Amino acid sequence: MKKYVKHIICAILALAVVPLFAACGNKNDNAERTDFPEPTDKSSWQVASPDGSIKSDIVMNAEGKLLYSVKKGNTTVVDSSSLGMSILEDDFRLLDVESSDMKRITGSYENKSGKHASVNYDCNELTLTFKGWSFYFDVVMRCYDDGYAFRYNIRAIDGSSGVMTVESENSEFALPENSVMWTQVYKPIFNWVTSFAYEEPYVRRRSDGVSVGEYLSFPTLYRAGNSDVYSLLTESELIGSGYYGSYLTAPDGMSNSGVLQTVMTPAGVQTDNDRIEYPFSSPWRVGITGDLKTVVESELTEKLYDDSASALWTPDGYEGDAEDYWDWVDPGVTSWSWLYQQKCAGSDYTTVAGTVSGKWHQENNAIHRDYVDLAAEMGWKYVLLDGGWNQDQTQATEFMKYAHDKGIGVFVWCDALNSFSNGNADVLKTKLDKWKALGVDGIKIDFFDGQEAVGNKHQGEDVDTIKWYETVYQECAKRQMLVNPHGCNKPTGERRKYPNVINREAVYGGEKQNIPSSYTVMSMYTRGVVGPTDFTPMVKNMASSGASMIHNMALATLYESGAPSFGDWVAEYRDENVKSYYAALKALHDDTVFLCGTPDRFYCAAIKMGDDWFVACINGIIESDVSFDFGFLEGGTYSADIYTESAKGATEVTKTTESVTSSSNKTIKVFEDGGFVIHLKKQA
Amino acid sequence: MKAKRKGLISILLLCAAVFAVTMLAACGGGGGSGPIGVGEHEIDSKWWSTTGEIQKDGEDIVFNNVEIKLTTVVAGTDLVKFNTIVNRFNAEYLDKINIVPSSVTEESYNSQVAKQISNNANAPDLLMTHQKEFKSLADSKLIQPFNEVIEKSEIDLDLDNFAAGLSKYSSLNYKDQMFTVPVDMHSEVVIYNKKLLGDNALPTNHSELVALCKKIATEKNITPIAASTHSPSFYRFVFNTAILQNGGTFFDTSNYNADWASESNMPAYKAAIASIRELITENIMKKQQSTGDALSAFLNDKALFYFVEPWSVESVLNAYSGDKNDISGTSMSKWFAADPSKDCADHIYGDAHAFGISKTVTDITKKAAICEFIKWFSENTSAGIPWANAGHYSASKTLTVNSSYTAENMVANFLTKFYADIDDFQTMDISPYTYQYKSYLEQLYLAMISNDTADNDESDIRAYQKKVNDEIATINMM
Repeated sequence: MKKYVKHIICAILALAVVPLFAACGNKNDNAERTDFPEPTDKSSWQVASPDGSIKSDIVMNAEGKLLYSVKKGNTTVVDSSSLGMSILEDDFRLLDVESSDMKRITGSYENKSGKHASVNYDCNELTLTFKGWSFYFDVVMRCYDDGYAFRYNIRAIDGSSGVMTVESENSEFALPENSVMWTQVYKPIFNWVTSFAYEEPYVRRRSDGVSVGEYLSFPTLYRAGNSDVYSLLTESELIGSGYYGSYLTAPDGMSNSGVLQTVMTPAGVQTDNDRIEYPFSSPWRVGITGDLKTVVESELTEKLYDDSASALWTPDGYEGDAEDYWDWVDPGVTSWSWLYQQKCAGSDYTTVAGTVSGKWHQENNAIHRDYVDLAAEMGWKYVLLDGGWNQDQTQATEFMKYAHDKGIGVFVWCDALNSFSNGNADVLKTKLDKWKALGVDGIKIDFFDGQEAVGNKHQGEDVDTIKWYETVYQECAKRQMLVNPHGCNKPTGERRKYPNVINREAVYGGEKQNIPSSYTVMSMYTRGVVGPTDFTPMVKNMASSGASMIHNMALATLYESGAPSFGDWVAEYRDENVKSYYAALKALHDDTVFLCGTPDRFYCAAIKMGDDWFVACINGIIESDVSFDFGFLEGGTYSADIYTESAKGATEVTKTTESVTSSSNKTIKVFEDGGFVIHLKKQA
Repeated sequence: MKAKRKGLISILLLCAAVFAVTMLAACGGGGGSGPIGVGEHEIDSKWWSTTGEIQKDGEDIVFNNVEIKLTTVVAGTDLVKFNTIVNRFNAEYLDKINIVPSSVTEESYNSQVAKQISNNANAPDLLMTHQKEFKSLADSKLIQPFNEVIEKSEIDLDLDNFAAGLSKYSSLNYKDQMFTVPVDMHSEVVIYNKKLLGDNALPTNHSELVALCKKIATEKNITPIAASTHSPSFYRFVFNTAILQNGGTFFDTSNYNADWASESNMPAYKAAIASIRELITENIMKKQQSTGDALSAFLNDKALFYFVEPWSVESVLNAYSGDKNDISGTSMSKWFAADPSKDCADHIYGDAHAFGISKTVTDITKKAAICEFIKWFSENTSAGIPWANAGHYSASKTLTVNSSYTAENMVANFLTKFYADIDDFQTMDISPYTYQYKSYLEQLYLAMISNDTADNDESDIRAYQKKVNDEIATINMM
């Protein structure tokens, strides 16, 4: 009732209230900097990136509606768009401005795994605090040199905690006219469930072609109008927010308008999904913005986690250094047999251990030992056992010892819900204890999408599922176990808080067996930007069409992951022509340099792993000559092993070697579905 | 994440089917009133409209980033191939035309698309579904004909360039109208193992099939035919093929009612199930063999013949660890005919995809862009060959006479073997009730094949004929 009373009061006093803004305090707690632009009046604010190239304006219009816009230089990235949330317990449609606060946030951290060994972050943050009847409502807007992000805080004026009902989130992105997007459209996995695990291909779309009720997933990339400025929309700090996962759609009555609104996940039953605990901080709504190089090299999704001291999670009662708590996390390449079994379908096949019938092999230790031996031989760190691994406890115990004796850690598959009584934390703890005692080093935990859920909870990205992710991360961390979520949602930067979340699916990956190159190229500019990607590349393609062998080699290089799962048969990696290449690949990318490409054509980047550099290119459909220079190299001369293919669809690669320096340049022809890779080793 | 199947699906699909029927019957679609009567009809007033003018640069139509939402019924392993073809088109037409594909399963297609078009809510611009489904969409005034855009754009989509057996349905019984453009054809197909066949000849009729299989079974100690007899692809295509080969039809074209128990059809239906049942009772084919076991048997040289969906042939070849040249395709022509001398004994029943335009498309340039895509899809080997490798034989004569197309392994050694004479390829005739026939034919098959004798066949045929006609009557009452 209080809400409706306020509506009436607001309507009567609207005009009178607006001038009050002039009287409201504009607390600018700007102790660190003094060069922020002054607000043009008391109902508009601006925040700019440290280099000044990205600016966001926020205004409260005469109707009390909060709007924002974003520019990169002179290019409009987001036209005037709504901000805000609606909750049942208060009315945020006409708020009093309580304060505004500006601060600069700077720092750096070291990655356990990521695109860069170390990351610097630097932004300006504007916090606008508004006062409702019972709650404060904050809009927090940050501008970095590589993008912007905003979030909302809601807290009771009396300092109490409780549960509120979210009616809607009103965050919108009005994309400039003529913008083109690369996006993944929500589509249920099966007819009989609404589950979605982000495993659809990305498609190119006009921004003004989205209908109400058509859901686009995060991340979505777009080119701002006819400019060269791109922006990747996504969300960050979802895990731990107590909120549901979000999507984009056209606001009601605004089909084909070019305006996208942030809305609740369409997947799942969403029972009580609007019931959110306060005090509340929403996930960040993020726009990684700049040229393509800026976008694909960015780690903004993870940088949003403030400074390292507060970003890293530690359990209650832990009094040591947060960095020390996580020092056991060790990224490494993983060997994995499951996908090869799919490749073999029902055929019998022969291993060094003998012929195995064409059935399910995950309980077969002879196969797994081959993959342990391979990992040890290649200098990789892990082996992954998939579903069926624990049929025989004695055998499993023997296997763990075999792997550990060779210095190889063990990941095991489990079901996020079925394996743990539909999300029972006690069962989770008991099983993790048991597996840890058995020697398990990490879990590949599947079906977070809820297709295995019993009842209405834990479906899609509902609140319960988002909380369940965090429970799993924490319980694994307490036992020093790594986590590789599968059948899951997109990364939202959680690796910054939980470095043990070393990998993640949420990609149209190798398990689909037929991998069109246009899918992989688009995913590099979208999904691949926001966090670790367990694509599970093969050496040789599983289908007679699609990504070629050289394309797969490039995928194994380009997708960043703390524990990339390499899925082909051991013999393929032992092929002398490619063995040294795969053996040189590392999980941690010390540096990532985008070289050239577009989402519709190809992707080419240089990756530093340890002392070596790798250049990898994946091509889509149109044959091209890809030209680049080696300016990313440090001084000196490098030996370059260059792997190419001789024709479209080649099932072998050609290796040549030459010397290059940072002043060298090169042009390589790439065929349909093809690409190339180069391994650069500094010469003494 | 690994795919999982659930038994619940069949129940839910049945519910979806009923919904599809009621949806199409109920949706006005701009003034439509559901299925209309038999025979050819005149269109008195258009239910679609056209806006704008086509701009040309010389001979070329100017397309400026025209986006077309395409909803296809392709939803299996062939979907990736289809999407790849679309992506190729998009790459070639970058910044001119962009096709945005989405996929809806056969069971949901018509209900979902009808709802979207009726409400003009996220409606597809271009539809690609089975030819037999378009009739009800046209009768509900949800799709529009191609005639006007072909005339204005001068894009050549001449039906004479398509297989006559498929293009004859393009009018959907509307006089002088072209509502659909044929895409392809497909059925359940047969591949075989040349090593196991040895010096024996391939069978050319049912008795030869039985004799050969008995011989191979004895010599090799195997079950010669690997087939999942209770899988939808088997009973949808093989049972219907058996009906056609014995002279049967699926409905009375004079009133759309099923006439399975008629004087002419009853013997055909009984002969059809008898021919399949014999393969089981003679231990030539296992009853209810799982799809996995059937595949495994063939891959491990434990079966001579393998009934398979055509879009799975490529993956079977990829998985076969022996010499892939030992695998080839053959036709099931005459395999189920009691009298192989009849013309109908050569018939192969299948489905055909076709393109159609939603009535919600009004802009003439968008309509022209749709035609440009269809023409490209129909004439380019860069579309036709990958689509053939996905198991779909082109309906376009431009492609089927193209030497690059015919030289492709999948075309030369499989597709042209499956469908030796394209004129023998039969789809269901035009009717608004094809979904009902299909659904109850499936149930009829499952009921009859569950019995080892023919004792109940007649009563089953009568019972299911009644069920389908009751449902059709119910629809017409709504």
